[in-house]
Amino acid sequence: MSEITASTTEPAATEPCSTIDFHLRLGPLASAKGDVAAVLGESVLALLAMFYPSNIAKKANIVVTELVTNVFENILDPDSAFTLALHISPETLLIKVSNQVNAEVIEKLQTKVALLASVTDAKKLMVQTIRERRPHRLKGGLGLIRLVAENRFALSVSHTESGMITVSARYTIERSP
Amino acid sequence: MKILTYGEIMDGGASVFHSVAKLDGSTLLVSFEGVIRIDNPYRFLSGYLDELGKLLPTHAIAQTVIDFAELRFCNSNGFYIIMDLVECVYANVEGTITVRRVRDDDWQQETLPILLNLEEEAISTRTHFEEVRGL
Repeated sequence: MSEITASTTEPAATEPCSTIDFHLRLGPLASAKGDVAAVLGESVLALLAMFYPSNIAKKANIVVTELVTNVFENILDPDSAFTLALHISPETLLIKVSNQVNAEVIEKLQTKVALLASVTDAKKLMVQTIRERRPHRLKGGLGLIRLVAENRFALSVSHTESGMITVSARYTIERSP
Repeated sequence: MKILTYGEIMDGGASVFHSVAKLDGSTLLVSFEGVIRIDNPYRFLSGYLDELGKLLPTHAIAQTVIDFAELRFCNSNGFYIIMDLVECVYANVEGTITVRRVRDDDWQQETLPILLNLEEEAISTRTHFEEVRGL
């Protein structure tokens, strides 16, 4: 079940003035046929590009792609679902993805997000990580770093006792001078 | 314009990404178009990478254009094949290299310089960027 709302308060304004909120719940995860992350990422790109500059829509595409890819790479219960929530207003782009994971994944994500919150130069960390992983062409390990270093998102993570984890990515939209 | 070699990624029976190396006189053009979303791009592009490394030294190339303007998306699993391909070009051609990239694309502005290894002076002195508007 999903709900999508979009509103534009003024037509053809110089500054974007639209607010879009949607909450999507998809499951069971095992029933997905194809690349759900790609479909959602491209859909968000197409939708947001109707209301906001393309660089903002592209940021949303990358976040949705990386976070939803993580969901499908860490399926704990094939019968469970995940949720994607997106909010964009002229000030903020906020994307939240929630899914059921095990304690190991929770710890790994918390450690990674804490590291990203503590580094003064996320791009330097990305360079270092790419250099470390490249000789073995290691898959993964760059997605969350990328969101911070490349796309300037602030990440946070929370979880419930039952193992439902939520990764949030927030971007403060800069106003044109 | 002579096509030297090309590589592509197929997904669900359709071509979703392709890279072409073309020669126009003494100018080499290497273009990247489409999206890289798959887990292991080497599965499709390792042959292209090998062939590029064999063919480039056999041609007299005075300048090069590497064009990313039509590369709409690259996941983090695509970073290493991009690095290998551009490294292959830099290692096997002489002269200046113009990199065409999209002005308002975070990946092309922030991460691409890392993948090009611009921290190396030998690379950065040969590299010029041409900024283009996105579609």
